[in-house]
Amino acid sequence: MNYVYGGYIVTAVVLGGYCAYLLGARRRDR
Amino acid sequence: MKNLWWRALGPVTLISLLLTGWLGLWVTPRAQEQGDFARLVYLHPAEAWVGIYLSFGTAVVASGLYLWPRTRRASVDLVAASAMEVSVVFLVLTLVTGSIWGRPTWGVWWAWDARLTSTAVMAVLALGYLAYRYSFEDPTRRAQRSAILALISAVNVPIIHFSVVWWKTLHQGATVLTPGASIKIHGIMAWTMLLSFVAFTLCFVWMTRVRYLIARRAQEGASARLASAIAARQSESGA
Repeated sequence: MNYVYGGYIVTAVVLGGYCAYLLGARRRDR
Repeated sequence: MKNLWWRALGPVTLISLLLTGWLGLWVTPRAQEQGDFARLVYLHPAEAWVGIYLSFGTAVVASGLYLWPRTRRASVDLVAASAMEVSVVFLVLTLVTGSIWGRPTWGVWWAWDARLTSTAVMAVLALGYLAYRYSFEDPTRRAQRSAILALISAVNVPIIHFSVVWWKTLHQGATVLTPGASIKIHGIMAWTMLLSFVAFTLCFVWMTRVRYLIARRAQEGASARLASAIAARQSESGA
């Protein structure tokens, strides 16, 4: 199950990180 | 109304992603052959759908529209660039989650298999597209050259899609879109997989839109700076 959790964690970290980057850039714009 | 839809998109995307995670990890049953490893099927195919087809496809279509004189707009070029950046994110996720699935099932993290290699080539092409864009100062040249590169890169999409048919590969064949239309996934597993496709598609729409708005604001800022510099120079030469 560790591999499965690993896949979900990597997805959450990458998507969350990219979303944070986008929201940060958008906030700086305003 | 339109604004309300865009405002709701973020929370709806987040809820659908969390729901996919919850169903995929704790509600769906273990698969008969692959056991718990099959739970990665609620991530990997949907990520590949967005990375290879949806984002990359949007970038290619937008690039084609830019090169067509009647539909040539700066906004179309920005859509292409935004979608390509989102494509890189999902292609990386596709490769990583595929690798995580491959280790326990195939025994290796990576194999130079036709599907894996062609997907890795696409990730390099998408990264190359973004690097190529930043090598131009002039926005018109940047848009034209990168649109041509995107169209050339599109050749790789059918290669990835048919790689499991054309070559003997380690990667498994289609689960849903099989040649005989015999779907190999059923019940809550099928519904969770469908939800994952909806969730990641919504995620793509949200990310591409926000990235586009950021790029548009940056372009407007650059245009304003250029206009003020020209005005300053003109007033200097007039004085």
